[in-house]
Parts: sequence; structure tokens; C-alpha cells
Amino acid sequence: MPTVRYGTAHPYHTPVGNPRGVARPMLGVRVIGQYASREVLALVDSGADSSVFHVDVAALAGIVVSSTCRRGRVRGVGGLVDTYVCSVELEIEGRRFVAEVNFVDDPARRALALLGRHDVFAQFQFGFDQRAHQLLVEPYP
Amino acid sequence: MAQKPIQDDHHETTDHTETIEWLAHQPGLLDDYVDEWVAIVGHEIVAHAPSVIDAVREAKERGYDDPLLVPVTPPDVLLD
Repeated sequence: MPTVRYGTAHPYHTPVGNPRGVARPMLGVRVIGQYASREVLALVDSGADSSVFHVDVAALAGIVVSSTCRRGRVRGVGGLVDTYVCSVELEIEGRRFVAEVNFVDDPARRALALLGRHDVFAQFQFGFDQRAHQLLVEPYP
Repeated sequence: MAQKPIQDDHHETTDHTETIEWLAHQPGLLDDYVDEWVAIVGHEIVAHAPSVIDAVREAKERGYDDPLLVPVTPPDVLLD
């Protein structure tokens, strides 16, 4: 049986709903464009196939989605949503890598930043200690 | 319609590690900002707006070029 020795533990975040809010595993991620970058606190979502941000995050990082990305779609509980699929540099826990990110252009989903399995989970092994409300992180070699 | 890229002259980046750790120990701090983006520097909320672009603009007007940007999702159970 393989075992993982996690190097870092981050407490879950409960920014809303004290004392009955939902604690969530979140990580800082820097979205890097050619001339600018922005750090966003994003949900680590093991149920998501890919990472998804609102398109305004791309704009802030100087990423021109209309000319450098292809159109795509993601499916959530609310149905299909059109996206721009972009190869973007991300930096998490000091590791910089290129990931395929979906940027959603939906005014109803503006406060949106989540890290999905594709690319991000290929860079890190994550553990979810739900009892202790801790996100465990170990970069792949 | 997709936003155009924002002209941004900041190149210096800020290490937000301590801010993120601190925020994790502030349950309910962002109760008043559901469905908004909050810009945080150190232990201070420096701006907030439904649009992250507006939150960054407001933060810059206050002299903060590279805040941590926090999307405040509702406390309801997420399924996706």
C-alpha cells in the first residue's frame, strides 16, 4: 500500500457563516500573465476535473482570452457553462507550472476560483483531514 | 462578453502566506461580503466589490498594488 508523507498542513478556511459556516480547503494561487500576476485564494476541489476562475482574473493577469484561448464548456450542477480554456502559468506553494485553466464569463458566478485535478493535482498530492479541518500538501518530485 | 486585459504596471509581487494563514483563523470575517471579492493586505480588508477588477482598482487607489484576492462564496453546501 503506498503511503504519503505530507510536508505541509494548511487549516481549512471558514470566511463566511461563523459559527456554522462550511470549512473549506483553500490555497493561495498566483495566476501569472505576460506582464502581471494576481494571487487568489482558491478552493481545492477534488471533485472538479479542471481549474476554473472567473474571466476577470485572467484580465487582471493580462491574459487576452479572446485571442490566446480556445472556447470550451464545463458542466456543473447548474448545467453547462461556456468558458475560455487557456494555458496559464500558475504558482502554488512556490512551484510554478503551466496549467489548462477554464475561465468562466458569467456574471452570476463572479466570485469563482477553484483548483481542479487536471494539472494542479498532477503537481501536488493532497490529503483532506476532515476531522482536523486541515489540507495536507506534498509536491510531487 | 469577455473582459479586455487590464493594463497593469505592477511587477513586484507580495508574499501572502502569512495573510492566508491568518485568514484561516478568522471564521466569519467575510460574512458581509458574500458573492463579492475581497482584497486583503496583511490583516486588513483594503477593498471589496462584486467584480474582482473593481476590488483591485479600489485597492490600488488606496495604495495597495498586489493584495490577496478572496472570492467569498456563500456558506451553503457546494456540490460542484
